Amino acid sequence: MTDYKNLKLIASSSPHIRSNEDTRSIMLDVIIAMLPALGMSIYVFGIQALVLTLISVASCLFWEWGYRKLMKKSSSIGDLSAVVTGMLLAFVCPVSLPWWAIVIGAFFSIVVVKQLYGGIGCNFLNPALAGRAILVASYASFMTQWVTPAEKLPIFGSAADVTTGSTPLALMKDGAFNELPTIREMFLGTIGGSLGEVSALALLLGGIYLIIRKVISWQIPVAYIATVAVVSLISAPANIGAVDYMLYSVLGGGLMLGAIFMATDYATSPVTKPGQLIFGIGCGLLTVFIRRFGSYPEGVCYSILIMNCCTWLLDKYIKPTIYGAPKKEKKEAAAK
Amino acid sequence: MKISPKFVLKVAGTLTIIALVTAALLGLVDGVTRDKIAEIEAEKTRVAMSAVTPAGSEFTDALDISDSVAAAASAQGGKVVELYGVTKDGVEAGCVMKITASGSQGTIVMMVGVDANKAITGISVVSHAETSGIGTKVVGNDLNDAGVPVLDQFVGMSGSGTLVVKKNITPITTATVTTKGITTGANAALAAAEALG
Amino acid sequence: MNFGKQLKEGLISQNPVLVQLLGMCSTLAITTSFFNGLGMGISVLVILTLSNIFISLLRKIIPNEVRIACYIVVIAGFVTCVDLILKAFVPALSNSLGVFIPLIVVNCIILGRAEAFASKNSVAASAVDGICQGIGYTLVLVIMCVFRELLGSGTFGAGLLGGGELGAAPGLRIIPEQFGIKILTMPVGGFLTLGALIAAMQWALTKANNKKKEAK
Repeated sequence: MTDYKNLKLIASSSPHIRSNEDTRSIMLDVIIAMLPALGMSIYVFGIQALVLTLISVASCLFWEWGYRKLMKKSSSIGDLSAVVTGMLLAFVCPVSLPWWAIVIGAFFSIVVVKQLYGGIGCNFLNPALAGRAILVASYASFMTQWVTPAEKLPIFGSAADVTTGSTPLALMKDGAFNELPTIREMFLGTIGGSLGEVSALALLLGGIYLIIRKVISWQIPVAYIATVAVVSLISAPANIGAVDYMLYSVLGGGLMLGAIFMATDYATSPVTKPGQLIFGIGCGLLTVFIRRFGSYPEGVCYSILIMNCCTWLLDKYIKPTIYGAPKKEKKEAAAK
Repeated sequence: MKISPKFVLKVAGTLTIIALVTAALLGLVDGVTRDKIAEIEAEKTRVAMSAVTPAGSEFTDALDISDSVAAAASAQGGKVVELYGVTKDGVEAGCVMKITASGSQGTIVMMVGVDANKAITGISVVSHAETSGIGTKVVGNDLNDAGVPVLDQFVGMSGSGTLVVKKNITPITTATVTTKGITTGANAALAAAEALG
Repeated sequence: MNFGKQLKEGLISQNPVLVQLLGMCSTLAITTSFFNGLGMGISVLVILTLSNIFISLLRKIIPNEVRIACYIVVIAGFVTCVDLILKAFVPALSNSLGVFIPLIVVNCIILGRAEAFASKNSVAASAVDGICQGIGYTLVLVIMCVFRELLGSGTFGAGLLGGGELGAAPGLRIIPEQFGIKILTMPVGGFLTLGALIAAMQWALTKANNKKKEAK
């Protein structure tokens, strides 16, 4: 017999199509897509890369659980979004970062940037990138120490014991083009840099997987990377070939990681396809401007954060069309 | 609307009287504190100047900055804010100046001493907005990549425009931009000193 | 006149920073060390009390049409006095607070209290109001300073404690320097800390109100 008293009626707006896709399965796909990059960074930097990632994930889960518990809200660690944030946060930090710093970074990412605004879907900044920005501001010396690749770190090793070198982007900023690694090294990832950003190949594999699984759409990553490529190509300095300069710009730094995994975050990017294209182009232009004219060698983190802040504007002026409406009404809705 | 003269007088009169009383009070406080403040300011400048000149130096009052000196400094990317003459044992011994140049996060204000042979006698940073933990290493005169205190390496150098980071000036890794800012200031100071004749 | 009630209002229920949200600019900018917070708080307390007394004294002769101008002249006079006195006798504090001392002229707490309280109440009540609101402001500054200084630089009482000259004292080191979350000493950290404090205050006030309602 149906218990009418406790029957739950779900009222939602159209379309009423049920799919097996929920937050958990999407996040699971994102995690799978990040595994090649994680594997590559373990290969390049040693087991310390895995340890740092695990600490980051564990602390993100802990802060998420702790905050929800303290505020007497439903637990949300089951949706795996904190795991994704934790992995991404570790990916944008140098492998030599002390473990306690990433715990503090995770606190800012999860509690300050995500939960204080209402939890998953309500944050206006990408949590992992905002966490990184806070770490850069707080621990600038740790966050700009780039371990030379193939220098296998001891577990919990002290950062002072390793040799450090410049990232390809820092070399480009200084105009030291002859010291750059080869394009092949850049593509495979045996270069200095943040934990997860080094291997363009592994990141691209993950990106293709996500697009095939329809977790992300192609608009943002393609618009972002293409903008950086085109602007670099036409504005290359005189003492390096234009195509080489473009390839180094596209493969160097966190561009692939940012374009595929960060800029495509649902909560902080526009919902419409044209909006996403503008978002990607904006990220690309800002990245090139910061790299070329700013005092930092890398601009992916800040350009995505700045565009995150413009997302509401893009969504406001490029409205989604009404589902199933006739063409005329669609046009009117778009014109409004 | 008609405004009566009486009303104007009342409003203006009250405001004037309050302003006068306040001004009188301020005058009183100023009289008590003026000498003291001037003394503290002069002492601050003297301490900053002594840090960049050989021990036993005496300083003149602030000198006028001529157009040619200002132009020479700005051609090197810096700006001369204050200029003082230096004498040692009664003999003229160059000059010391307050220079501004841009660092990585904003303007760096520094004191630069230059001796009679147009060589730098010392650099110290007066105020700055560099990144804590990176640029502040340069400001705090930490060891550079070659193991020498980064500001001390400028001592004895001469020739405006010949000081170049990564050539004859060794930066601190990750704080190259701040080192460049200091170098710009040093070049500007040398140019200004050369223009002084 | 009820000193206890006014004190409670200044500290808690009508706290100038956390409830009235006045004087935020200086609160965000200078709360990086205990020394700064205490110095700023006491400066504002003195200026607020003096301006409250004088404006209350003059409240019957100031014409309504130019009252704001008169208040500002009185306030600016006291602020400049305090600025000069600090420069002459406590140069360390004047150095570290910089432009924020002259900016007390436009601190909304002072004009706000002149307009909302001193212009309508007796001299004694206005003086008490100035002191209580000043204490409320100082208290918030000190709490923010202690929090930001401890987590941001890892010290307590920089500028006052730990030996050395006034203003240059290193403070007592509680957390090793490398662990300091430096972003808290930056303006961003000011916003974060103030936001958290306001939220905590609202939470406490709501809870107290609910309790009162239940008791009824």
